[in-house]
Amino acid sequence: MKTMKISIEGPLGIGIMTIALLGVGCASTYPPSPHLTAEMAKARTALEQAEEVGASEYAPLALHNAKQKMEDAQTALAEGKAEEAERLSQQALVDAELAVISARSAKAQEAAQALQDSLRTLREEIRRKQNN
Amino acid sequence: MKRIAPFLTICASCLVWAACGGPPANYVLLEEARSAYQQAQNDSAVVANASTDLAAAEEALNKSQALWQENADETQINHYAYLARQYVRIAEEKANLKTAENAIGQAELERTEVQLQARTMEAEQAERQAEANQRAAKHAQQEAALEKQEAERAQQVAQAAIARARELAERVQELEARETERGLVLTLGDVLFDVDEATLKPGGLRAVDQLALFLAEYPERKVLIEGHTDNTGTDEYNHDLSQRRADAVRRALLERNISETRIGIRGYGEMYPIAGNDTAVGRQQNRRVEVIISDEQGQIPQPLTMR
Repeated sequence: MKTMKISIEGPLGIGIMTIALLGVGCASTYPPSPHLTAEMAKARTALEQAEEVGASEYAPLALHNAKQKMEDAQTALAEGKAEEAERLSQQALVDAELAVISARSAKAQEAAQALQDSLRTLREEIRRKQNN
Repeated sequence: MKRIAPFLTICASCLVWAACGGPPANYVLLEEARSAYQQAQNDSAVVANASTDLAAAEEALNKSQALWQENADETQINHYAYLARQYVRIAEEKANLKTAENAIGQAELERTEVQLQARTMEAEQAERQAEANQRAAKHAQQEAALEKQEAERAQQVAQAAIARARELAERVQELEARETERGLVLTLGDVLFDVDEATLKPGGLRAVDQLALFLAEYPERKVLIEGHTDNTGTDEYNHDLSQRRADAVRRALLERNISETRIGIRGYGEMYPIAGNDTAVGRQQNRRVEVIISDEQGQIPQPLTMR
């Protein structure tokens, strides 16, 4: 039998390495899959957006929830639990999206209330002046 | 053999039951997600404003449902149920946001309207105030004009009074009457009568003309004609003569259209001399007729009493 020497350098070598590593299974501590990385990046972006729209003031509970979920996802990833990390990061994403929409909604409701209050005051002022 | 049969039956039924894949346990999260989704579906505002989120919720719900029916891992079933539940919440908040934005739009429209109303009202009030000020100014002007008119009138009245007084003084002077405590007194001297007669000579008549003119001009005045003599002759004779002379003046006035209600006569004879009867001059002075002219009220203040 002829012995084939397989060298690690070159595209073929990297390919073999990747397959070998994947073959080891999800319980590997190696950097996450591109898919998982993308998922976690999406969740992180959504979290940033939540901060930007003022969720810490207007939807603190939802924001806290999303942050906690993101931390849990990162913990799972560190522990090599890729499936759990993916699930948790997907949940973190919707949690962050909810925080965003809750903050915007709360801000708008506050603005609407303020406008209606000032309108009421304005109307009363007019009524007073008319009666003079 | 008989004991094994029931056991085997139970085992078989268990196996059959397990094999059916029917609901082995109730997943609370799935139930909640399903119920929440139903509620959102019935909310027209949510359906109108967040159909994509509701669709995502439905997809997640269906996945969860399918996994549940396959009796898949609890973690997986709960995962999709959780996602579904959160999508429903997102949809609801999106509807709330839209409602609030509509309210803001509405309020801003109303505010513009109300501000316009306020500004219009202010303008109207300012206009009314300006009109009121104008009216007040005009009124003040009119009042000032009236006051000026009244002042002018008062001045005219005063001036007229002064003129009348001047006129009266002139008339009195023309009349050659004297101002006494009893009133104006016109003395018709002896020379104006025929000697020892009660006939007025032309000079006397001219004096009566003047008097008549005066009395015509001042119709409210009355006269009291008092005849006097010197002491020559009897009291009776003198009284008679003085009376007849006074009467002569009266008749002359009547002839000149002076009403008799305005004329009174007295004959005092020699009772009231004004000069000594020991001289001719004095006696002539005493031989007189005094016409006393009343004030404007027709009053002759002091009737002649014993002096």
